[in-house]
Amino acid sequence: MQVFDTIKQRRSVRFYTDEAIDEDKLKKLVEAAIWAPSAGNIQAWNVVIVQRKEDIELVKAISPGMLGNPTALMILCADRRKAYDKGGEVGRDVLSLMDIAIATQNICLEATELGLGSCIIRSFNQDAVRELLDLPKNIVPELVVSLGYPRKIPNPPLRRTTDEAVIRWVKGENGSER
Amino acid sequence: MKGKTKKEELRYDLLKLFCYMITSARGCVEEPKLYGPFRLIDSVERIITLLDNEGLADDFLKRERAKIEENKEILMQDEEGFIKFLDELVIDFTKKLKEGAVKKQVTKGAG
Repeated sequence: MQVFDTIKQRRSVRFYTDEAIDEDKLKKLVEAAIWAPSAGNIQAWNVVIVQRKEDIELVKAISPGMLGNPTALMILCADRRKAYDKGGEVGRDVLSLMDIAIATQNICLEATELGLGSCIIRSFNQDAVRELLDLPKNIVPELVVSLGYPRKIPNPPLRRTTDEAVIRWVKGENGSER
Repeated sequence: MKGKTKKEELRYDLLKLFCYMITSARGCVEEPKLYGPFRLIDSVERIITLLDNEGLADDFLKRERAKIEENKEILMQDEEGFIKFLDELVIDFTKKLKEGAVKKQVTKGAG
């Protein structure tokens, strides 16, 4: 599959079949995340993977934004200490979040290529997830990706045109400025 | 839920629902305004499922749950459509409420 096709095929999938995801595929998703760029190559993030049904239910109970019945979760967590030690305040408060977002998109694109559905969720209670999963204080869950084999793939929502998205285009000698 | 009695299971399911509602309440402090209505509707769906598990959901509730499941995601694409859907639910449930009240009156009258 071409990258652009994968980008356009990715949907926020919330309804899945019961089929479990092989560990190899989950590892591949983590690998995709690892290959994402990060500020200063700090890679100040870690992943928690949850596959056991009962535990998915518990995370779901404190994650109002999680709909449907995922068969696996990937919880992307910022390592705030590492981010601060290597990147200072901006590394901890801004860049680590951006890095997680980029890594998360890689996960979702790779998931699409593997025939998996995914959905990025931020509507969860961070303190509750940390408490539930016994995470140390410096590890902060920032995004959850719900995963599974799609049962229902939603239609693509409307997108803006490139003309709407680009508010100014400073072109070279042969082009005009917008 | 291995080894749990039916009552314990129900209590645990309710606990999960309360967790959902409490974390929703906390989330609503900062989240977009329409997430609040969405969480309430989602709660209704979850409560109907619990009732259904206990054999207490009638056809009306099952129908409304299916409707909610089918339509709640409209919010992500069409806010006006979501509000219209909420309006429909209000009428559905009010009609049902009225029907129940009439039935009660009739039963009272008959007594």
